[in-house]
Amino acid sequence: MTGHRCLALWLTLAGTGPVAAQSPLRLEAGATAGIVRLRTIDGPIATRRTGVSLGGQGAVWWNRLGLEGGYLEGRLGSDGSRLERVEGYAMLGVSPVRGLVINVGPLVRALVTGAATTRWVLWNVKTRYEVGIVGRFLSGFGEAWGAVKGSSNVPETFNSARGGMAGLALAVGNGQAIVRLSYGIDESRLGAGRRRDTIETFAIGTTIRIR
Amino acid sequence: LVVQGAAQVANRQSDSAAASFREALSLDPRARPDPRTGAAATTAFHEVRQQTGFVGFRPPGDTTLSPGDQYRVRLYSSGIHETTVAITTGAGQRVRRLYLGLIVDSLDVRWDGLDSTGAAPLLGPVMLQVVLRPADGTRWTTRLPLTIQATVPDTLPLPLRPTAPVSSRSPTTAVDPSPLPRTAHDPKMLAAGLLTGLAVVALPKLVAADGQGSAARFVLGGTVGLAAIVGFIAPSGSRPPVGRPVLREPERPAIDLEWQRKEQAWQRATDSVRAENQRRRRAVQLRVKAGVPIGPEIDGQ
Repeated sequence: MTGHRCLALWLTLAGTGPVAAQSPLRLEAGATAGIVRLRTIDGPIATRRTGVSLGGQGAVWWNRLGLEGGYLEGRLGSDGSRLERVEGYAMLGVSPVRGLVINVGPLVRALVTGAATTRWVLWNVKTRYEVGIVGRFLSGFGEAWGAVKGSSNVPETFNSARGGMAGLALAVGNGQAIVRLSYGIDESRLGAGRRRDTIETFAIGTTIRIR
Repeated sequence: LVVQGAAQVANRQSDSAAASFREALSLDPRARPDPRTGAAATTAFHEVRQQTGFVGFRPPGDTTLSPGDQYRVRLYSSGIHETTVAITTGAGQRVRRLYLGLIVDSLDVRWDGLDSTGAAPLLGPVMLQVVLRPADGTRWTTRLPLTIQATVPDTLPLPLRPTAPVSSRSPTTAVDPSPLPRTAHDPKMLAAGLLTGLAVVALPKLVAADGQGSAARFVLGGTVGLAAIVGFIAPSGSRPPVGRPVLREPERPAIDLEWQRKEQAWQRATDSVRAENQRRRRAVQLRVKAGVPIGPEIDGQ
């Protein structure tokens, strides 16, 4: 593994709590942390930064409908090229069949350097599917999302943004907590593809079912 | 009447004397000749006593019985007779026998107000039936009507049973966004695992314009695929690694465990309510009111 590539190292806050899954109300909370690689290609100039980010997420589900939200921030790069990444999202979800979730909602991302702050607002549609692969305790999941609308404060015109994530989910404590190990990548394109911001993430996180 | 009968004995009117003595005993089974009465009249009176089965009742007034209380009636007999005392229905069907044996002069019978099983109160109109069998083979039946009313405390409603979790009813209607559990040797599990591993590896090609991605994703993708293969080919009863505990208990999803806990809590609450209701039913208070005796009816004459 080369130095400019990301290595996943996640420390997870874990815990257990009672589960009342037969209730139509489900509450979930979790924490994630990991290492991120950001590649920015602006014409002939390519910049690569790596760093660590930490975040948390939560979800409220009522029968088939849910509301999910999350926040993370991290520091990428070092010394003169240091950049702060702050990101948050809130998405409405629906689960038409078990294991399949479709989300719609905004994702707000800010990349802060010493000189300027680049802000993104992406309205995403996301599909996630999770399926058991080893018994009841190990699942695989994959998700794909695309921005139906986006804006940024950079001079270039927003073209598109899309991303995906896949990985493993390990159920522990009789399913009261789920540990996820994932790889994700997303890319935003501006100025007819002249500028591309690609973020790769190796993540591990835990989701705890509170209720 | 006793004096009249004694005079009739003295006048050698034995049949009339017997009739007088019988009438005296019917009015008061405890009637006895005066000690100054002559020996012939006294002997005649006692002969009539032994041939008649008159019985008198001395019930308490309107009585309220709590659980464990006894309703006591004192009986007086005209003679020494074989006696059966029972509670019967209005139609004469015996519900519970209270006494079988001799009655010499008087007898106290007790009844707890319960039916033949001793578990439930006997409500409505019933009879305290006394059957005397004098030595001449006749059968004298006298009944004391009893009216029994109950004051029953309200019982508690049973708690509502918790609804079964959706996954227990039908996985196809489940709304849980978590994945469906699958069993070992399921080709779908293998395919899902391999596709997930492939997705991890192929994501940069699908998302990034230049298709470049971290080589570390191959580690994760390979791990996912390998886990799927191992999960598919490993027999469910395979030996665990040496030194590791053997976990034979099948894992159950938390959704079932939680529902089981609620089901057990409901069962405990239901048992408690049933026990309380049983106690309340047993705590019923009975009001017993005695009527006017009926009889005697004489059989075997």
